[in-house]
Amino acid sequence: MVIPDWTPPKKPVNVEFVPTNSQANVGNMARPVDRLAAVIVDIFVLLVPIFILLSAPFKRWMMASFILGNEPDFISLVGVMTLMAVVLVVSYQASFHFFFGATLGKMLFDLKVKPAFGDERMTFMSCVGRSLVWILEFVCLGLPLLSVFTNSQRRTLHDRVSDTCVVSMNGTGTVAPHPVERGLVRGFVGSCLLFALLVAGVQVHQFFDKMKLEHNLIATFDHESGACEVVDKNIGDEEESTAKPHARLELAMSLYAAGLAERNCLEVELEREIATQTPVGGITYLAQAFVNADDAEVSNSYLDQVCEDTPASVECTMSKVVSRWSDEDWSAVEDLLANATKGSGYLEVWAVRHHMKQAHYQEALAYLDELSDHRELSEFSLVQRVKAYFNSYQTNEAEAALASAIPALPKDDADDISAWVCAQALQNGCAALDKLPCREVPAPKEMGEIDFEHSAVALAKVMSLECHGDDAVDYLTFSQAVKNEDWQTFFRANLKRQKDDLSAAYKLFADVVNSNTTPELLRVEALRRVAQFATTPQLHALVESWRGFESKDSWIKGGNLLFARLMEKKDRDSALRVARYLMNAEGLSPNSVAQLTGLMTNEKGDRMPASVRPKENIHTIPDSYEEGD
Amino acid sequence: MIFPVLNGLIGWSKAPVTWAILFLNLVVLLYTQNTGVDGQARLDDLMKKKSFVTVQGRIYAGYVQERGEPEYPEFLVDLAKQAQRGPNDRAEMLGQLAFRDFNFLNDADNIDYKEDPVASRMWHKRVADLKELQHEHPSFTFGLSSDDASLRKWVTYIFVHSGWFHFISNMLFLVIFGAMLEKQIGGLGFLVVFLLSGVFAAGTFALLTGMSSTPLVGASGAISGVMTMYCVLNWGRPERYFYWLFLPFRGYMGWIYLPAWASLAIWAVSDLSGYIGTLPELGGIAHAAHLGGEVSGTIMALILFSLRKFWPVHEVHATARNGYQPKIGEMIPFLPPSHKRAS
Repeated sequence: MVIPDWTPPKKPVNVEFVPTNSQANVGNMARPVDRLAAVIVDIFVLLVPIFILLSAPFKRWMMASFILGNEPDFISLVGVMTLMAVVLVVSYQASFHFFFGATLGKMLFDLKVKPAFGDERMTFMSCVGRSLVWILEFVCLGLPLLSVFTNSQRRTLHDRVSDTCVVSMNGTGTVAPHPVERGLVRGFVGSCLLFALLVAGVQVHQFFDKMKLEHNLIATFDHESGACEVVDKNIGDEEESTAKPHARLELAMSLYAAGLAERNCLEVELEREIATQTPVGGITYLAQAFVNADDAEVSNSYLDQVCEDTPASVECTMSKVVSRWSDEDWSAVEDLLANATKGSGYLEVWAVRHHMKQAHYQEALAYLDELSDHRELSEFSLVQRVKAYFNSYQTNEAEAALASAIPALPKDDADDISAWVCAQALQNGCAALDKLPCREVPAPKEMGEIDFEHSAVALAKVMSLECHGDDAVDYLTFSQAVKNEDWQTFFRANLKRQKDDLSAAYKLFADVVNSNTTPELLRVEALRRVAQFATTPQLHALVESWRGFESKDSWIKGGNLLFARLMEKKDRDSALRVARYLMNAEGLSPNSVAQLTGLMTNEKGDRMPASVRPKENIHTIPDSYEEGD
Repeated sequence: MIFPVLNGLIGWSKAPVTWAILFLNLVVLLYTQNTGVDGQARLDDLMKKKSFVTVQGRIYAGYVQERGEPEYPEFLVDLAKQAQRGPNDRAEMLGQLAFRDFNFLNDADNIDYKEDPVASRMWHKRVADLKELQHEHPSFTFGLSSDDASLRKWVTYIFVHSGWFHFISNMLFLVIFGAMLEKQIGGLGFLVVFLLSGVFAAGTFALLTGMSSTPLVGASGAISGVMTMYCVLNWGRPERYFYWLFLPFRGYMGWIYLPAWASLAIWAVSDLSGYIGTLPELGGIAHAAHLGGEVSGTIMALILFSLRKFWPVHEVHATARNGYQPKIGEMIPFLPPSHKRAS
């Protein structure tokens, strides 16, 4: 029996590769910097100008295809130009290396390409191969070219592939790389590769994240097609929409008015009408007026045109409403809305907005009822209904409306409206924490969970935390961590109040109240807090600040707070003054009315002073009240 | 980077006409920069109004399609098809191109946009505003455009520049090549070459690209003529160029001596590829005018050769320090490589 020999063959021990060409000996190797300089000369002085000249006709064609959005032509031309560049580089390098042993750049620096083994001349194919690998190395961001710093004969990949080496002909060559040089370059290349891998990994991860949900996938492609997704989603019966020429535009107008679509949606729908050659109508002009809102001259011209073409239409009424709105002629807006034909959707939305702005909550609720048929506007209706009930002190109805709204609304909107109610309910005590609105906005475990960009949610969360005790909120940390200046001031004011530095606290709270950038909910809360400890003269100053409030909603809430506080302070004259303003604007809350009635009956049969008696025209807003957008 | 330096900066006493032209250009630039700032801002504001440009694009689309090829290039007709009933960005792009079409803007009063009377009305009003602003703008007052191609503007356009960068880049070449040429052929000869090249450049531009509503301004056409004439007159002489190979090591920055024709070759390649490779409808650098200047410079140099008995051409030697006569291809680094220094 023959036992086979399983022992492995012996490895050759450290056989070092040494080029046999006499000129490639140590000391004659071309310096890397000379090689780089030669490449720069070749590329920028020779190849680039020639390429620019040869590719000029294609560049013109490519530019035209790019502008026309002709992708196949554009891609083909990019391909042709790339091929042209490759052919140019290969033919230049290969022919010069074959015939002269060096390109013009190398000649300038006395370098020559020599065969690494033997003294035979390079073949043309080996020159072509060398050049092709050189291009590949460039495509890999030039990283393989760095092997000139690591290879013991300073041969890069293209040198090794073609069995060549580059030598210096003027005796200024260099020696083999020092181990430190090798290590540094290998480390750099390794880091680059690692970084590239990381970037690629992140990109792939992001791509899959984006494509994970089918919804997102559709959204991505819809966005590219430029269609208005919200209109597509709500358009309903396609046949019906086709029968009515401006159905999509009308829907877009309603959604835009309700804040459920961007202005871009109107633009897209107008483009669609142009593309389908839909005849221009009042609604087109109206939409154009909104699209061109940044260009007042054009926008006003469109608004005027609506009534010129269709004087008795809803569109005409709408255009007049918009014009009067921008003039802040609120009584004219109200008259126009009252006499308008209902059913368009967008007009009702504007009516709701107008009445909410003017604190006419019952009228707003009536218009919201009109919108019940417009299911596309349900998100708007649900939110506004809760606000209207809450602001008109119909707490039970507000809670019921909120309970039905929460499941129907997107999560962010549901959180916003719950927080809006919760923050205001907490002003009356922490018992509100157990009720529905605050249950939807749980107190955060740490500050990082609070998003101060959403002021209602942020305020509700801060107030929920405060309900857990005096030390539950570290105002100092909050003031340092939050970026918004108004919030910073608000927290600093609370800190001062906590430390019983009431004078500083008053100043800081007053800054929040007077700031134009403060969110309305925060403004009212700051006013409530400062009113709790303000002295009588400070309260008088706050009354002056309050009279300048732009939002009528905040103005009414702030007014009632001040009235209650002035009554507590027994500052009867000031309280009555505030009450008069509130009464003229129909803004007295039921509590304030009760307090006022009590005050009047305590006057022992005196008639109500003339200064407090309601004016005949109850809608008149005092001159000092400035209404704005 | 490689840049012709020749004999460096030549003082005003040796090249008075060159410096006088530079000074005149500077005065005009200061005047136009001060008087035209407000007008330019209003013009920019108007030409950036999306509503105006988009409607103009839709109107121009109809105008171009009505006339079609060959009056308008295929590319513009295709874009017009896209813009007439397509998205706003197509119309906006075409609307921008319409600003260059003198015939279209001139016919504005006779063009109506029936699809949208408001847009039509506003467009007419704004075109009138545009014309009024252009009428007051210095570039339009001095520049050569299809709007006004009167005889004086064929010369005045040379002395107007659109901004400091435009001015400095042109004047740099003027002082380098103009001063050298002036030393060779004299002040009067140089002035004639400069002005004739400018006129010839504008003519070539009008012929090859066609005049547009956007005015042609700048001395680059005239300077191209001057540079070309110098290069032709000194065809094979070694001229000094500054080079820098972007390498932060010794020995890769300095002077290199190349023949004069090398400059001409670089400009000719650059202008020819620029002319072929760009769509004239998009505007930008007037490569055709540069090519015109180069042709005129060549012709005038050849004429001067035949007339050299009557109009002498003085020799100007390109020399390195200490009277050393350099050879073509010779490189003199500012700091020689360490191994050379040691030797």
